[in-house]
Amino acid sequence: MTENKATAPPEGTGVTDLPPELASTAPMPTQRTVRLRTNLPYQAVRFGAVSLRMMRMVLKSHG
Amino acid sequence: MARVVVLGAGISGHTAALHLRRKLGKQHEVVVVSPNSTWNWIPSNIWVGVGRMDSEQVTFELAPVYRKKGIVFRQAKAVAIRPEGSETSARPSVDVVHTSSGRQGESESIEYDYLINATGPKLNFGATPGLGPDGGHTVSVCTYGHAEQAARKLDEIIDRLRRGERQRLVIGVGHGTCTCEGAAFEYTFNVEHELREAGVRDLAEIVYLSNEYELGDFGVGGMSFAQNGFVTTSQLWTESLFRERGVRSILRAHVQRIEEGRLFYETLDGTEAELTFDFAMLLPPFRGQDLQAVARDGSDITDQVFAPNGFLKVDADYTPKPVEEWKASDWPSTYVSPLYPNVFGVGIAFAPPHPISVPRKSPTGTVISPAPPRTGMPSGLMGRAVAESIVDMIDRGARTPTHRASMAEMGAACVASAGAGLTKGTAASMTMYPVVPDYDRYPGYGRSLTQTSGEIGLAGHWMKHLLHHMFIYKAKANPGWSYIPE
Repeated sequence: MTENKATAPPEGTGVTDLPPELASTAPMPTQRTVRLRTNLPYQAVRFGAVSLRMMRMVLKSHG
Repeated sequence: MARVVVLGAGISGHTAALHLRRKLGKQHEVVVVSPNSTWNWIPSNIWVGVGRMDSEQVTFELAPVYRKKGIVFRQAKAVAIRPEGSETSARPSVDVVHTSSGRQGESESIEYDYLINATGPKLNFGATPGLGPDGGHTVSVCTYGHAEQAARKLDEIIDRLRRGERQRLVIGVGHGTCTCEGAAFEYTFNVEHELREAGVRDLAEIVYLSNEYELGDFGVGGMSFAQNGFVTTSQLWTESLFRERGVRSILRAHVQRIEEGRLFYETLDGTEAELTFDFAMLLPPFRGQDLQAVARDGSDITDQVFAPNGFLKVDADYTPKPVEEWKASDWPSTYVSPLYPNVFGVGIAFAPPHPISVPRKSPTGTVISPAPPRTGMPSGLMGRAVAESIVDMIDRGARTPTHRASMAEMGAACVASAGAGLTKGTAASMTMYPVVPDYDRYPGYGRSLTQTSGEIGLAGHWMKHLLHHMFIYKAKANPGWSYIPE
């Protein structure tokens, strides 16, 4: 499982010269979504789906 | 007997050479000229740059492959083309300077009937003072050698983090006109993943520094796709990943100069700022290789054959026009030179008519917007289309190119690694159709919402690994190579 602990810049690294975090309002994935990203059975199914999608793209582009 | 000379042995040139050899009779000659002795699967340089692969895993020697296939190989750098012939010969030719250890510095003139310029980019580190690994203060992953240097430097950073020293890593692009933001994105998240794996992420600050107007632009103006009943954007999707992984971003930036441990940049709103760093991987802008064009009388016609950025002019519409008037039909489809019907430019070597992302300038006039990417699958498709056109011109007497591969009519499948590992890796798997938006065919979004997609997961990492092995197998011209699509 992916540890989702790096959600904020570490403190004390002298970041004051940086502009505000541009992505601060972006939606965060739920823990379930993060878990599914490395869940082997689920990803095996997704691998099939991604392969089919890419193959369709390749075939269309080789027209 | 006809001779086809291919300048460059990257994805586009190598693909063209293999298909030419496959389809042309043995009485015709295919000659490849490349200054490098090896072929490099550049997308995997990202993994070399974090120490997950070594250079032997992403390269192989070209000479044995060309020997096996009956392709003539000259390890040399092209320096001039003479498309009208010379004072001593009516046949067009290309001047090359050998780079192999046995013939280093030796000049040769190679005559041709058809020429494909697939010389790729010149890595223009000189555009930003202090940029690059050779005499500069930053590392790069553009070549496997650069990537190995980057991995060693990253190891030093991880050692310091283990000793409890806080470190700032800046990853992105080193100039306002760079392209290949996708590679910078990949390296950012691979480094982030490696730091987590090493247990030192909490002490590291990672900053993504880019010329993109928004995250997720990737030089293609961003993407829109249908997901869970909504039309979402690559901006939202990418921002979410940045927030989740705690990566900060500085966007709309042009790096002005770099000194040891600090860089100076300007943003689109005119702000000038300084950023200190302990590690910086910044990609250089690209320009065309230094290739001169010479007329039969010896006069220099480089500015007629090549665009000012050094890329070869082809069948694109180069008329300057505002963004609102950009059309899909501006983009080339046959890659033939408008001046010489037997000269073609493919891959990064052709001059695009304009960017894909909206061009922008700072108040001081500095251009800060991505150049259009034209690597990977589009490069391979262009190489193949041009090869097939030349075959028809030689074998069937076609007067004009017979095959098309416009970036406005082709899609691209892109897998951007976000961390390596058989069970812990992730990657963003993206498809888009077409690469260049066509607002006449797809009003509103410019691309098909059903064929433009993106998802993050381990499946993407497996896919990237599969593509790594599949394309190296294909490039080695192993049995059945031609059945593997570009």
